[in-house]
Amino acid sequence: MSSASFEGIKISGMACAVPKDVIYTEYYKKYFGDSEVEKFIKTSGVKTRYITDQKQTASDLCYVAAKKVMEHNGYTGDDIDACVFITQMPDYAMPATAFVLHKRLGLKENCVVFDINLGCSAFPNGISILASMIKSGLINKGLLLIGDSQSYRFKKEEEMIHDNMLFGDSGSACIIENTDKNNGEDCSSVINSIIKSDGNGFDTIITPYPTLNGRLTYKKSDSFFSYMNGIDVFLFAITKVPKLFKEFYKKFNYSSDDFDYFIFHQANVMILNQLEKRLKLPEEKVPRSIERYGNTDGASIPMTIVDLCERENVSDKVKFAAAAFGIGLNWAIISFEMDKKDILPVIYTDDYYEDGYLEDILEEIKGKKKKKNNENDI
Amino acid sequence: MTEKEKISLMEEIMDLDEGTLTLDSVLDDIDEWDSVAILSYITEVLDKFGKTVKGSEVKKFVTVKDAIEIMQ
Repeated sequence: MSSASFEGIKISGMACAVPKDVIYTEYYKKYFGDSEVEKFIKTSGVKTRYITDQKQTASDLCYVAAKKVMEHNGYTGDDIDACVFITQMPDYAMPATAFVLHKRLGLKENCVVFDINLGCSAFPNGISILASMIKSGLINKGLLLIGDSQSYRFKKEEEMIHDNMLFGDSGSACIIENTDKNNGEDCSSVINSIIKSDGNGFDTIITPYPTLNGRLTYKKSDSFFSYMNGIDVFLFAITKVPKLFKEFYKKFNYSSDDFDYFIFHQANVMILNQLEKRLKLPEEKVPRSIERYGNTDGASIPMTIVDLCERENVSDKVKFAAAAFGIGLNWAIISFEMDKKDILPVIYTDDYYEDGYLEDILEEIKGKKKKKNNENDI
Repeated sequence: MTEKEKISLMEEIMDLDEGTLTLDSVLDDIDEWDSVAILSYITEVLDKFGKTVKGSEVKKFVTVKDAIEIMQ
């Protein structure tokens, strides 16, 4: 069993941050030619995306989003009982980057802190995990941070591959909390989810070498390319996701009419078109952010929600069904309701964590290395 | 679906004029047999024949004959 119904728990705040630097897909025409790039735009849907510079990482984006959402909810570090960071691009090999965020956000000692290594399907997994922690009584309010900065693939401009045009960097922050104790308000709030996995596809999307876009390893590894079996990912998405919806509707007694919007992981428009068609969903109920922000990986569901609320006039209370699929392989679905006022506009930032560059520690490590080498000489 | 209809379907997938392809047409020699056509082929085989074709299988196709063999 990997499904659950979490009653009395709600997502009480959501924010997303992207880097300030925008890249137009058309820029790549000088590398790949007009027709190739136009075809890419048509099939992927990506027209622009935002890219971190040399010093900014996924955790920096999540930090800015988290600050904003905590401020919006009127929370300080003392109010947050858990800080969970889902990324494939941690700042360091160890410790978990969630501890860096714990420090930067000024969170308290009584706090559960860890990273999860998951990609595109991060959002439904993360919300379910935090909701479970709330239900168990371990925590009352949790911060779910999801971010990736895929632009590590920029090794040399002339070696750019198509994936460079697909992925955009972003960081999201959501606050999940128990509503039971909030003066009886919002007690009807319920989050439903189903999570599925298939390790047989572990090599369908894979980056064989570790620590790619860490704070100090950026552009420094020769072996940081990723592999994706596009055909199998496509087939996986268009077959598993509709089946998952069928199971979800049946299990929780839903129909497509129960939701205002269906939010899908923004893989590419070919997959989105297929899902829309196979699930018989009207286009206006399936918002897309891929055109403006690219495939933003695990953060693509919050990114699409934030983008939707910024562009469209949504109602004060919005019901979402969100499905994501990707690396693992993992696919999951979650439904929830949010107040429009708790969904904040997209933040554009070039903020980064200067102290994270650890100058003193690196000097010390270098000194030790030198000493060790000298000892070996003797 | 007859063999002729299957070849027509391949032409449709690749957006080619009718009569362009034969059973022996080599896929690698056809510019239109690109990633978009392959994904379109995957969905057609899934929808019309209820079968799933893996990426590794598609890579082994040499001719149109290989691609339509699964269409049953």
